Amino acid sequence: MINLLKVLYKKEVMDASRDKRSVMAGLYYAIGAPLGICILFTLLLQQLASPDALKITIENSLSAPNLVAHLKNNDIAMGTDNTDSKLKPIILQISDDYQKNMREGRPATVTLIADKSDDKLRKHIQRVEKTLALYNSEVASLRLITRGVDPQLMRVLAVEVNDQATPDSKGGMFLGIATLSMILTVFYAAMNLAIDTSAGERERNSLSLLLSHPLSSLHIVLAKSAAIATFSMLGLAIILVVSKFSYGMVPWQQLGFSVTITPSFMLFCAVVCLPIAFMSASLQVFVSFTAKSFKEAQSYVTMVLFIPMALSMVTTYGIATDIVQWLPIAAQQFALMEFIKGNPIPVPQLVLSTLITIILFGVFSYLSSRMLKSEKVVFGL
Amino acid sequence: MKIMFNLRKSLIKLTILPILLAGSTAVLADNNKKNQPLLTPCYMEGLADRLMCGSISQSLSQNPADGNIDIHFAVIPAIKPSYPDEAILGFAGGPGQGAIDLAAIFNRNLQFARETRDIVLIDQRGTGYSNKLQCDSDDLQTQFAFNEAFADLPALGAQDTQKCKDKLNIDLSHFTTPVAAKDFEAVRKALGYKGFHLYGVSYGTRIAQEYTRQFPSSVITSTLDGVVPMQQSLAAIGEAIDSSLAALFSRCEANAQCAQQYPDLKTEFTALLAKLDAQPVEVQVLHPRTHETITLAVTKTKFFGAIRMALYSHSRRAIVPLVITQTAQGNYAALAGLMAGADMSEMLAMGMHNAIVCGEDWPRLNTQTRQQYNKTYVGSLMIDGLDIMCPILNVTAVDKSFYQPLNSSTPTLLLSGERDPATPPSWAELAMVSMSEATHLVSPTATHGIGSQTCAPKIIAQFIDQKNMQDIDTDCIKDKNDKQFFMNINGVAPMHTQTATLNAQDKE
Amino acid sequence: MIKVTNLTKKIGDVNALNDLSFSAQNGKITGLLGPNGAGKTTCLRTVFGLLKADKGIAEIDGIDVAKNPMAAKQNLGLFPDPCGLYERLTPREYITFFAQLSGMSEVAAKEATAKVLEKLSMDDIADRRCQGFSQGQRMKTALAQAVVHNPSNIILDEPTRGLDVMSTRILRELLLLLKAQGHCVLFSSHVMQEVAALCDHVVIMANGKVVAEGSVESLCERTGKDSLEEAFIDLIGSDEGIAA
Repeated sequence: MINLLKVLYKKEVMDASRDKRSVMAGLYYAIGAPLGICILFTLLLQQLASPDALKITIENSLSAPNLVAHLKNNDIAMGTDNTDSKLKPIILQISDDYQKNMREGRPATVTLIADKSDDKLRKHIQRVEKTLALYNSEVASLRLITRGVDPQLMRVLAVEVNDQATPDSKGGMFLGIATLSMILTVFYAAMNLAIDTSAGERERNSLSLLLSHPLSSLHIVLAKSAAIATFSMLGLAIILVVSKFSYGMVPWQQLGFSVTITPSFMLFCAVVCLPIAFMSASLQVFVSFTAKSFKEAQSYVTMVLFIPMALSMVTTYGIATDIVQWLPIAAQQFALMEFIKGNPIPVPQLVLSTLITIILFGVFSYLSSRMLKSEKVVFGL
Repeated sequence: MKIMFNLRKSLIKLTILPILLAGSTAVLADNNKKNQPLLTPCYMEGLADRLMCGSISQSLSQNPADGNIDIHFAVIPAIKPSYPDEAILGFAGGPGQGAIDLAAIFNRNLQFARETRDIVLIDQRGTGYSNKLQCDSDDLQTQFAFNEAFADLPALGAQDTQKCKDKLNIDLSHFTTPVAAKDFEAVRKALGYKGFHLYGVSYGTRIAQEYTRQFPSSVITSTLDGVVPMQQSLAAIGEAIDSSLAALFSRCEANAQCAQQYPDLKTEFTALLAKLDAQPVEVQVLHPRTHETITLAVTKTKFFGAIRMALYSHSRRAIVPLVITQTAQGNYAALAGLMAGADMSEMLAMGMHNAIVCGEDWPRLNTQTRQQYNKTYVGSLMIDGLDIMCPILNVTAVDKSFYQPLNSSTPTLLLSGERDPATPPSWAELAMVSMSEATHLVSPTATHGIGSQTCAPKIIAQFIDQKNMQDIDTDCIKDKNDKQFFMNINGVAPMHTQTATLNAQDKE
Repeated sequence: MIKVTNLTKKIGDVNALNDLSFSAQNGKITGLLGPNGAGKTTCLRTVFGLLKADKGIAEIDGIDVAKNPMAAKQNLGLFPDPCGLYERLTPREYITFFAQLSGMSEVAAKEATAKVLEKLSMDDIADRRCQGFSQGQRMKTALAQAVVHNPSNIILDEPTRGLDVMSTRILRELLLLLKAQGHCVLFSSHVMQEVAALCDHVVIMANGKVVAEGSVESLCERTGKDSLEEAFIDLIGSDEGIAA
């Protein structure tokens, strides 16, 4: 019995490993996903990091030379050249009665004209607003001092924030995407192989020959799942290694957090993902057999994989409800994120979801083996 | 076939992992506790980030019977610890400021350097959390009412000093710079860093130089911001104050608006000083916080002191002409407002401060330097104060070798502000005479501590990264960062509204 | 020995098997002859347990395939139609794999594979991947797979399709050898010459039923014709689906 499984598994792995295109398709994902994420975030970083020198249009600047100088000191210069790429479409309009109001101690109006829905611009607008607020409090403080009042009086509350985050945990959003890519590898790295070894085997008529031999259909299903899981784990190993090196090269620290894929995380990830790999393999085999043809199997499997993807996504974007957090994939990904952040791992959720994952593996395997007893499935009728 | 076999083996390994993992995390947790002094998360004012705080026990003196004091420190963790063996060590000024309490400022000045390296802040012995040596100080109301002109200052000073000495009841000789430097080295060892990048501000540059002198192999680079040369007594500060004030006056003269609004400001100031010196004024003002009517004795010392403290910050420099004019006109509210923010005694550990100045700055005064420093108002005040205080405190003078310029080949970056009312650029030039790898950057408009005012944080980070100043673009340090003077109580808008003629006349 | 009794199977609305009964004896070559769509493949698939009969029993060496498939299939060699090759494996790997599935140890399977490859003169293609094989090479590989473990019962579904003359001869010799060794050989075909040349016993099927069975001679005798082909046409009542 074990021997038979071994023989079947060996053959599946050998057969699959020679299917260069399917193997490479999975590996491309494992190599490409982290690299793609890195490139994406490097671009994003450039966009987020407000360039040192920001130029805006200041109308009626002669009325407020001190304010203009203050902006200049904060690297917000007055731009006049329309072709300058640093000149952003932000207009600061200084009112005509600015000087009069300033002198009389009334609020002097400045109008900030900009499109706040422009994502690229928002950061710059905020920077201008912050710099204006700074000027506001600076001049107000001096106004109070010259009246003999301690400007500290304006600070009613000294709000101290104790942020419990660590540099490692601050990259939450990014970590979500990184772990999402890892979990998805388990599903996608061996997807082509899974379809090929099930729907493909049937289409090539070797399935019926296999079934005519003295072995149970459960043997076949288990061996196939194990072989697929092997390749999933191979994909996972690759994405972990590639992630370790590629994420190390992105200057996350400029965003105030760091992303470190440690060997212990890689180990933890492998352990957590192993049951998922088996569950994913058995699910894909099951779905492939349900389909009538190879092509149908491809579309069904792709559709079914939206479920784990959705579960993973809700965790990534932190919109998982309390119940969803106990579900497989979601819970495991949450555990991975907590691990990488250095937080305690939610053990009950992880254990339960892993158990459910294993049970699902059993259920899918059983269903597939049942299906292989049906002539309709075997001959794709 | 080979591929297959390997795969099979790795599958087996994967199944063993859960046990290994559980085992290895337990081991990790153990290791962490053994190797490092107990670090606990902590937070400092104005900084949301989580720091790690801890302390080590250091003997107070050579004599074990004197017991131990705890030296406290905080680590601001690197965003991405690319260089876990190195850290930036921040030295606070004063003397008497605690470095840990200034975490927010160090974090800001070193924000780019922190991207890859930890920042370590150690409360020098006698400051902050490390056995702070604090003397009682008067509250604002008493300070306002105190009239030096009528008091027997030597007797009062001696009395206060004795009171403080009795309260502290500790030999201040154990709190001088050379002694304290050893604590910093002990913390470095305890935290396991191979080397420090030093960042000292003001007095902090003195202990940074002393630390470099004693432990040159522990210093990778050194950044000195507002440099106090080893050869220089702090009592020389009077000249810096006067020239910083002179720069303010000439700037106002050169500016058409200011010259028009405050004509003859310098003359007015000198006249006011002379008037207050001859005849202090007692007036009623409103308490800057409680709004109660309190007495303010306007003396030369207090007035000059308030103006002096205003010289440190660009925003306060902007109201100096206004405050002088208003005070001269008999309107003292602005002066009271300025004084309320100028009280440093709460921030400084005066016991430690006095240990330093009496052990290091007072003993080296000689006839020639006394004569020189006495020429300035603050210099003479300081010498008078030291002469009263130091004989009582009886701090053992540091060795003569302490006054030698630091002879070092450590890459060193010296930073000065041209308008610094404490440590002018000339001091940095003095400090670097025997430094072989030193670069001096001067910001033409900055005041004291240019790390908080200019683009210096970026330059410091680059310097720390490459351990020399080669090819680092330092042009931005020349950017002007001063502010327009207040033309009236509401701000900078001039009284006359001819905007076209008013712009861009703010030339030095 | 392979024996089917009263097999009935409906596929859709068609009675693919209609109360089919016959047996194939050890030491004999039994031919299942019938026009296209007569139910030959359905019958054979029922014997290897891939299809379940609505009624009736299929037995191998007296073991009911439906009730105890593992035991029944232990001594069965199978040459399916289509061949069911693994394109990415070499014939050697392919044959060894199925030998192991039929219960041989790895060492024994490798030895038997080497032997059968030699016997079928396949050494030149033994270590090439099956991808791109000619029909003949495919058939040979499938055949080798069917006999590698030396099963006492061998079922062949249209074994001669696409074989060249040389290969057909090899096949013929092989079947005769198996017969001499006392194996039970059952094959389906619609090629009269093959059946006439090889079979000791012929079962003629049409519409899922046995129309007639017996030796080639007895069938000719019964219909009064000279050749099996003539006899066959006579028996099924049309010449539909007959290949020359």
